Amino acid sequence: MSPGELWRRLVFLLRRERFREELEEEMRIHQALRAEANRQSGLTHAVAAAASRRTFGNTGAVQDASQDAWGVQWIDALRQDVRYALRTLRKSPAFTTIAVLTLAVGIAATTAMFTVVNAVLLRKLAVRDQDRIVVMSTEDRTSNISRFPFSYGTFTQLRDHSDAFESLAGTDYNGAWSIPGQIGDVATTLRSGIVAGDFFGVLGVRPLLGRVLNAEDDVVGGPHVVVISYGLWRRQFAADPRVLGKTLRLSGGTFAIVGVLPQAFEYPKGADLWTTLALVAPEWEQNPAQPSLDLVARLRVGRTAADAIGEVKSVLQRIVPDGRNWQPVLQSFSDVIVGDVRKEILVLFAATLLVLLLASVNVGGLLLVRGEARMREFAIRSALGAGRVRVIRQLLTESLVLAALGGVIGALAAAFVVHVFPKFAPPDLPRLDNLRLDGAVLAFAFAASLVAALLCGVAPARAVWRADLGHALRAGTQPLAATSWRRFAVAGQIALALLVVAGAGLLTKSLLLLSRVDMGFTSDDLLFVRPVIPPTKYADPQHVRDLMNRLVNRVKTLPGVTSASAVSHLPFSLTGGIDMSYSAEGQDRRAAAVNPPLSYIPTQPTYFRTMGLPIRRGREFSVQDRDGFPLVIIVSEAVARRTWPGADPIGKRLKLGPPEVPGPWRTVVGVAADTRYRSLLNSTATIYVPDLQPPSPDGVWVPAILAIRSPPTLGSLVPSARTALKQVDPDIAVLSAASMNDLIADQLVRPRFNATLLDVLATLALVLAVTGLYGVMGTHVAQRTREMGIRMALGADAASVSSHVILQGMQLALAGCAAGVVAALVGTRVLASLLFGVSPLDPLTLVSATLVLLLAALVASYIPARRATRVDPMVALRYE
Amino acid sequence: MAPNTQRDEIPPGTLDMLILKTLARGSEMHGFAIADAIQQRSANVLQVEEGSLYPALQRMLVKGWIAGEWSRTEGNRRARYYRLTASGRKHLESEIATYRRVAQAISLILKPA
Repeated sequence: MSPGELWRRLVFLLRRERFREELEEEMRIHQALRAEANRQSGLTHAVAAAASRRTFGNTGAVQDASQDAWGVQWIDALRQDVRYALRTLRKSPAFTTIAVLTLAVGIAATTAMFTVVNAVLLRKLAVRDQDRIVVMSTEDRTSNISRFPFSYGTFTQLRDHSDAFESLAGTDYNGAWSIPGQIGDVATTLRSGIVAGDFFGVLGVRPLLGRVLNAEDDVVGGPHVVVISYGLWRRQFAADPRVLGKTLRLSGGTFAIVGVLPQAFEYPKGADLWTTLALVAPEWEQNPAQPSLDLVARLRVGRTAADAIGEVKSVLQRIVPDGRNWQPVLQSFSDVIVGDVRKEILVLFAATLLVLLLASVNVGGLLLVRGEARMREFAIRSALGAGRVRVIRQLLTESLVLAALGGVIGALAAAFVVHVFPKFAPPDLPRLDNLRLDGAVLAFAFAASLVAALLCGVAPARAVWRADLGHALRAGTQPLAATSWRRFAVAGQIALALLVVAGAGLLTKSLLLLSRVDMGFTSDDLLFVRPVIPPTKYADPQHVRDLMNRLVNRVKTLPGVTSASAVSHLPFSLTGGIDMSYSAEGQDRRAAAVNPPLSYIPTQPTYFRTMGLPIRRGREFSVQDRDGFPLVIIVSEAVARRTWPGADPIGKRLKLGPPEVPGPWRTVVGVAADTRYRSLLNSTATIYVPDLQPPSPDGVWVPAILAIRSPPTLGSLVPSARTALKQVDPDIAVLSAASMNDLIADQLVRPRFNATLLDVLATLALVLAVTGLYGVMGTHVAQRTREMGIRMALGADAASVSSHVILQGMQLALAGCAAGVVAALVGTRVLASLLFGVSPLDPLTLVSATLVLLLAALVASYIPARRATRVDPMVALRYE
Repeated sequence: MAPNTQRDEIPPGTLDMLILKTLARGSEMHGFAIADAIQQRSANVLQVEEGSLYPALQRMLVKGWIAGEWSRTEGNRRARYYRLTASGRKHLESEIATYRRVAQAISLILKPA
């Protein structure tokens, strides 16, 4: 069919009434003209008109044939079917309500979840040819170091000599840093992405306003310029288009805003602004061996990730002469942006699809039972000349109508969910701003309804196809030969429900374990207060340090406070700490190369007491441990275990960096417990270095966050701390204050969200599966009323009759559970990376899930079984 | 009405061709004129059941072989005037060619031996 023809048919479809009228008129004129011609040839008026009608033929038939010429008869047939279906459904409102709501639940769940899939996973990011962008770091499998950054030197080598990449740039591997800043008069903390080279050019990001940073900006001594995020622009500049040229102050000086980036650009995650490496960390460019960058690269057209890995590997082998077995690791750009949530979202989406499947099968079962009762109607219709196909089309139309109603309710419910979702969703879920009901989502809802209609319509249609309609006409009813199909479907439902329930159980158990995990230090009674330090007033690190000392001393005097200390990083914060490599005395390069990567924590003497972090051996730091005194260090148990297995670590010496790099030796004076300060999931090997001993930390590393331990008064501490800070310096505001337990709770938001959502879906799945079983058993009993009656008349007691029914139900449930356990053993494996402390094959969870289903199945079989025992033998036998 | 001699039904499948040819001869015609013209030109041998003209016209409208437009008749009546489109003309040519081939073949068979 040509496009023109399609268009004409479409126009016809929309203006059918008009076409009909026009044809009517045309035919009228034709007949009038013919009658006129007849009159001219001598006929009387009446005879001429009659003759004209005769030669014209049947105008109704002409109308019909003309309409048919447009090939849209099916629309009429459909309309007729739909009208009939609506009439039939209106006659049984209870059935219709249940069926529509069941489908609505399934469609709403899938559509709502698809909205998230669409926003987070499907919609394109604001970069050009996203598929060719890769983000690179390295790993060393032999020593379990994952995600080790590139040095500036390696970056320039690769950029200038690469064949596999079209272009290449870098970004600070720590992601966006929180740094003190000042916009106008307002001191605040800003998250800064640090970029090297032509970062935005490589990604092909187009600015919303102004320009992006380019390679010319990334030169030491270059202009002080930044580009800001859409969010910061809206928040701090009220989306003012005249923002370009305005300045903001960061710790490194005054920066001019030269551009605003589009909303959909969020890399590094959470960045409020972007500056160049040359401006904020020139020492990294000057010391090209310092590992500091993730590389962002655009593959040349036709080159693969494998090409790139090979090339980068050979460059690394050539220019990094240490003994490590560095492997480049390539991630796609979308993996970097949404990588860790992709699986969670897909798992939840899969669960909603299973719920939709279960809902459709349930409605299919209902339709089947209903179809049985309506066999006589079908038989009559077919006797009156409706073909079997026509009857089946009618049945499918009914399920289509049901699904369409369910789809409308489902889409409305999904719209509501989308509306409230951001309130409940974990705030760190990327790209949530994108969440909305758009064409893709509506198309999905439509497709979901269609699939649901087919799923629930196919079984009744198949049954009618096979049924003996002639017999139905004589006998009135005719059992559809679909019992085995229903039993199979119910067992399948139980299997799928078991899979979802087991998955939910795993996530829930994992959440419980995670919420009870031992942090390694005392997390109760601990508060973190983050002051905002105006960079104009406290320009160099020493000023900040002095200020922090005064603040610490002040809050120590607050009632209830037992200890306080300044710390450099919040727990679980974006970067979470500073990574260091180290070498122990006596280690050669090869041995040092397999040392675990360390978290480096600049520490004040009161740190351990304040954190409630136990010192296992040796001593904590004292005020004596400062510049000019012997260099000391405290290591975590993991460092001690790995470096000096079986030996006493106290008195051993190590230094920061690899063995061949000159550096002072530091003596281990204490061993602290391992903590999960950086990540709730893992404890990190850590070294604690006195804040006042070299390496003299630069501005970013000065401990500038207050940790306060205050057992009795934690709740009321925040306002008094705020006042205390103001007393030290009226310009100091509090940016954020959170207890350690709050921070842990934040970490649990996403696992809890996932677990809760999957629990809800599992409950739905369970209810649907059990309802399905109940339906089958109910029909089973109803069909066997006579048989039950005979049994009871022959002396069977109620118990044996009901246990017979229950046994039937439990057989189905057991078959389903067996299949479900197999499905779970295979299926829950995808959850592995989402689980904490529990194996996907956890036997306890699997057994519990099976028991839950069997118990529910027992209830679902018991109710029909009781009904069976109430059969009055006489009534049952007289029946029929 | 013209004197009645023997009247034949239009052979199946040829109505479209006859209509197209009629339109190709004249410029724009309404339905009655088309029916009349077919009858006249066939010397009243071919009888169009006049109503059957309209589904055929609709069919050809869908295909885009003809286009229709409302206009006034000489007697100042409103009527839909049909005209041949370029694709209709092309279709007519191929129809005629096919018809000629078939008719020739048939007449070869029917030729008295």
